[in-house]
Amino acid sequence: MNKYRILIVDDEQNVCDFLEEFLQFKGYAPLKAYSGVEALQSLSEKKTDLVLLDILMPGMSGIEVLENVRKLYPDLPVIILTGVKDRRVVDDTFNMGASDFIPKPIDLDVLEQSITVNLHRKE
Amino acid sequence: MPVETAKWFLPKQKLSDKAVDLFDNIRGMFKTLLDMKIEFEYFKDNGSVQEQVAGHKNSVMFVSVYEAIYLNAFYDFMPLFRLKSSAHEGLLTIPKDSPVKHIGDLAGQTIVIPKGIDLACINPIIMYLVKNCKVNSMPKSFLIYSRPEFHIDQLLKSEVAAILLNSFDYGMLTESEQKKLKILGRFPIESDFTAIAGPDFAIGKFRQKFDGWLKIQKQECLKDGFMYAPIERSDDLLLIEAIEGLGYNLKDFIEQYSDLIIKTITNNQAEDFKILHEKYNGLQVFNEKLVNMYKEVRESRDRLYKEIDSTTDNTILFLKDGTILGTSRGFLHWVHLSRPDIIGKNIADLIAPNMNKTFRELIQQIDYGLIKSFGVKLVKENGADNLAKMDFTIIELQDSKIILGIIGKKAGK
Repeated sequence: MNKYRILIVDDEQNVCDFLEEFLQFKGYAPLKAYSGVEALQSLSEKKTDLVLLDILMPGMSGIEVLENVRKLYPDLPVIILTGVKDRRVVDDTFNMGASDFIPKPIDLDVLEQSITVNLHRKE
Repeated sequence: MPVETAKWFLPKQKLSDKAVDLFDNIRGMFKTLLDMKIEFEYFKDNGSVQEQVAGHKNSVMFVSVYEAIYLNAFYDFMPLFRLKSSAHEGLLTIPKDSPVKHIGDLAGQTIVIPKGIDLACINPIIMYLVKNCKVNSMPKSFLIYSRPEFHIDQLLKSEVAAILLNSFDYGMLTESEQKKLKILGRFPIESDFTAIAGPDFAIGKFRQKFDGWLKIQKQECLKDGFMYAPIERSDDLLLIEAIEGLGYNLKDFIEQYSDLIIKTITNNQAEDFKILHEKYNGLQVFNEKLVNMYKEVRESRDRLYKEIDSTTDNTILFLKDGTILGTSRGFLHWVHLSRPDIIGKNIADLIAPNMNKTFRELIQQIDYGLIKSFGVKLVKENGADNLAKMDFTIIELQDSKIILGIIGKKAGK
């Protein structure tokens, strides 16, 4: 069975590394990108089933990445993972087509459920 | 393959000839065990010790026993070995069938401290006993004959709850006497030093080879009167309990007053008694300040423990290093243990993450702010009933951090 490919986009290496191990443990095939540009590059090169996206990143922000993803890959689920708790940011990301919004610190159960639901929804 | 290099940090002061000999010996030991080269470097005047050491992959230094506990708990430094200045150690001895499990259980009870046992040295264990117990001192005449049977009899007849012995006196007891006793904890009776390495040091490889190396070495004193010794984790437990019991805060002790103790290794103690005396006075002043300062924290923490104890949630409080401080009755019920059984133990001995990460690694991620909950299971039991989700919150009390864990939903319930 092919493993679902999940792209982790976060400028912090610790976050990418931790989520990579968590996703591997849960049976997924994680990919990592440390910037918005790297994320779009990765999406253009590798078939990806879901994106975990941070908002606050230097250079291209998560919001800009989300805009681009929606234009280029309208059906690709994008789960926002961020420490930003501003209600307007949450609303904005949903309005722009984010599939879910999970605040940091992350509840790993909630993250796992959200990934499962969004992958099923995509299918 | 290039030889790996370790950076050994030293306080910036002139090394005595004896200290130079000692470091030569250590250099040889590292070469033999790990084929590792040692480069010595002085601490810089500016910047904290932690910052300077953290900048190097293989950093090693000598610190006091207390600093070693602190650096291990708060900065993930790992103790490598001890340098003992005496072949003997202090033993807090109780009857074999005594219900006492922690030094705190001795509060209010009568104990015996023989005259002449390390009372000139700042020692939290002795300070705790003096402050909280009724202390009988052994008459001088008993010291002259150096046979502590009289007090051993008192101990076995439950007339006293504990006796402080040194390992020499303990060795003088008959085998049958020793069988009737239990050692609650051991502690250094001289100013021992601990070699401690930065978080990235190949600690496992070192310990494996050091233990073997130590076994084939004759325990001869090095030139300046020190001996190598392995790290015994149990040593720290008694010290930590005593420090906590006295109401001290180890973090403040080290961070604010590190100059008082961190630099002693390079002093020739006999030649430099004046400096030691000043340090001793400094520590006395410090103790008074610390006790007052800690009272405020202690009161709020006691209130917190009380709240935790009575809460109906399955709640546990522990330090960043995993040491358990308090639990609710619900949590005790879940782990099938009593409160004295788990207070002071490490949480990783009771529960484990239900994923491919250690408890310690996940606690680091909680402290970092990345995650707030994960699945756990009881370490000693299997089965779905023992799976649960645990939520964590960091509580900051002045300069220290306590972690509050709450067992959320349990699997299948």
